[in-house]
Amino acid sequence: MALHFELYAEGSSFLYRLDPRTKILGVLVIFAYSVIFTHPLYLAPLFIAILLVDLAGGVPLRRVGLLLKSLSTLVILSLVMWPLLFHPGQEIFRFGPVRITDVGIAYGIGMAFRILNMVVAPISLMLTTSQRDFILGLRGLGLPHRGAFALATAFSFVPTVIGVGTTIIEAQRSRGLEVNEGHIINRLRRYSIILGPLLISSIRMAQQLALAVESKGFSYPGKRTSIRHLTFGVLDYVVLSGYLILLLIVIVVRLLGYGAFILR
Amino acid sequence: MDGLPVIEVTDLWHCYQPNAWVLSNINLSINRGEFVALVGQNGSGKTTLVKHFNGILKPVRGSVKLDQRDTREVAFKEVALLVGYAYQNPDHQIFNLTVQEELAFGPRNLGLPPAEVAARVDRVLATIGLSGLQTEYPFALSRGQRQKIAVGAILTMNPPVMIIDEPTTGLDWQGSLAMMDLVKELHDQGQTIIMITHDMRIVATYAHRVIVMAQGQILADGTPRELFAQPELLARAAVQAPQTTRIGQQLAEWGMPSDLLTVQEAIEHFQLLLAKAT
Repeated sequence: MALHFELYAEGSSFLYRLDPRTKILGVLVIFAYSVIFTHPLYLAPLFIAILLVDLAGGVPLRRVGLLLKSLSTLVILSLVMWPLLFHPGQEIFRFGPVRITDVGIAYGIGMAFRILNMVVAPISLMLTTSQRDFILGLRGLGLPHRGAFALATAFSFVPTVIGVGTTIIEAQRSRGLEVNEGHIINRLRRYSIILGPLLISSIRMAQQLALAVESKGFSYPGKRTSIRHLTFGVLDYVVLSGYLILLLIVIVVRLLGYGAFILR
Repeated sequence: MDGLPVIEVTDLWHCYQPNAWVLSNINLSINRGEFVALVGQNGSGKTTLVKHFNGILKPVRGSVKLDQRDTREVAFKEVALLVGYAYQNPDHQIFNLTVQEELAFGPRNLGLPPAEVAARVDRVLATIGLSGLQTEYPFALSRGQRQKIAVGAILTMNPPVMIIDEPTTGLDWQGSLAMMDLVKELHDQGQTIIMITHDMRIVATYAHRVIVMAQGQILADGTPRELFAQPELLARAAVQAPQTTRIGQQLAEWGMPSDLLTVQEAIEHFQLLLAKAT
């Protein structure tokens, strides 16, 4: 195939030098932050901060951009659906059964940023961490090897599956299938024509992968050692302390009643 | 129908990422009724090129015309009527629960009446030698049979031009021969065949024209006999002539010709030499 799909891109910035455990914990901190707060004025700065860290860390921004593009549907959905369905606070607009309130709008914006934060952060992790380091990091955090391997492999297969999906779409279009035509039911039906082969191909790939790792002694019962050992550097300790301070502040601020809407 | 250009490529350039040219300066025209083999290393641009022949990819520069019409202006369905593309991996296109349904998918998309679809399916089942298997589950069949289904699924659309991407990959020799006999039969019936392959024996035996690609460019374009007689040229594309040809070339000083293609030809020349010697 002429196109190569891989998430991880080689680099040498601080994001690449950080211990994978530090980065994984960072993603968890971002998750916690994004779940604790609901107010856009608290969630938006985090999103900007993630983008700034990515920028400073030399994360291929073109890929992040592509990702943001594919997330746009979800973001728009959040911006539209929350105000339509969620009505606490001051009413600012009413037209027949449609009612919009200030908190509804703000909440929609907040949720959009929550989605963005919780997707862009792990993707940034995958873009700057090789699969091997990711597995080591997960194991270092106490996950058993099998689980770590499964999780890392699932991530690293996403681009491959996208590649196969593209080929399948092309193959079916060559047979006269118009993918982006007609109303939604027809479209969904057509997508099943693509998902069928994709599923079969993925199962075949998984089967081959299982055989490949097994032939290299994956389930050997003895104690598993690694050729590489993770060590925290000065930077890691600094960043980890940062997390701790940030988390403390977040919890205190939230307990004081900031960062979320008082819903009645 | 011979002699009319069905595919015309003019100064075609293509890239997937800005300025990383995967194809550059491609000019060629393929006439109706030709049997063309496209050869070259992995990554030399063969698949990217043929994907322009059925409009899956559009030129970044230059143009590709199918029956005098620019691929940028022709709808997918119309292209599918003219150019069929059997993908390398049959599992990328098979999705139906029966062989019959799989073969009927293409012609139904073209809007043909059910009676015509059924007639085509029966005819193609016979052509690909899978009559009697129409209600089988395609994924339960062998790789060779699935490959035939993939080609058959295009055949039922009856396109005058067929692109076949590595039809013999993953097949044993007998399976390869069966597949190539099928392709040859299609060609004999007047179909234009464009085939990507790495098997030079198959090129020597079946193709009438070979296009050699290297680094996104056409390195050579001619008959198998002309091209296989030029080892230096082939080496630049990391392609090797079939063993029969190379034996002839290495025995040149004994009077063997350097453009042998088949074992039969080689035997005839050996017999001539032996007759002279005795």
